[in-house]
Amino acid sequence: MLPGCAAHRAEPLGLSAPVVAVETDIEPPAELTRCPGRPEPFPEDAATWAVIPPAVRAAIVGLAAGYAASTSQLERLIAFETGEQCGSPQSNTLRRE
Amino acid sequence: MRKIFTGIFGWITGARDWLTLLAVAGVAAWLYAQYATVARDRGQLQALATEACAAAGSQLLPSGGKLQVDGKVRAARRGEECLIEIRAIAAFKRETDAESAQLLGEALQDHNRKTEADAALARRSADRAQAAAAKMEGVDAAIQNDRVGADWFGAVNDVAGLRRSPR
Repeated sequence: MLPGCAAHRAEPLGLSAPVVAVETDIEPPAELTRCPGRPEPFPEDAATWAVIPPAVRAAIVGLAAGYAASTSQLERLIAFETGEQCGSPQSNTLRRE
Repeated sequence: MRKIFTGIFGWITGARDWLTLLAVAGVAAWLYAQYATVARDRGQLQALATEACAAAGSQLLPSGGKLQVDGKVRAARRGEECLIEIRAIAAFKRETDAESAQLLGEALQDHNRKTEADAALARRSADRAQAAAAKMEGVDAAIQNDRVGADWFGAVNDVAGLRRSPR
């Protein structure tokens, strides 16, 4: 009869917190998404020649290939993160040829 | 049989006052039992409602002096504030679920689009690298006396992805 003497309900079971999606806008620092510049290429005029042993030739070619792979991966990563391709007018570039 | 009925009827007629009293007392007792049951039920429901409103962050009894607008301004009755709060919570949950689903769907679409664009870039750079490597092999094989000239340097420029210097 008295409200205080009535039976108390136990805590409800099995209710999990609802999933809430929140839009975040976390961008990498501008320094990280700067498009890589290109160094000067080897000169290709007819007067330039050199004597390079095979091992050194192989090392030079290896360096060139490694540089190309790293740069293309970085540019692809920048395009994925920021949505702008390097070389386009609005991308974050310091110097591009 | 007729004699028994006549006897009982005679006895009832004789004890009419007591029987009336007993009948009234019986009805009163039944009514009291009904009341007690209803009062207990009501007490339980009131306790439940108080707990529910507290869980919703409001309270069952109206907080003093609050005025509501239902087309006119009046004081809140018992349970009204609580009901408004519970409805707001349920609406928030519904809207949050819908918005969350939409955000997640958009994020997934965005990711797919970016992945496709990256796949196209990857194909292009892989083709370029393969062509440059093949050309490099040919030029390197043609070197004599370890003397490298313009064509070798040009092939290295291609491998490195550097544009040729203007000549």
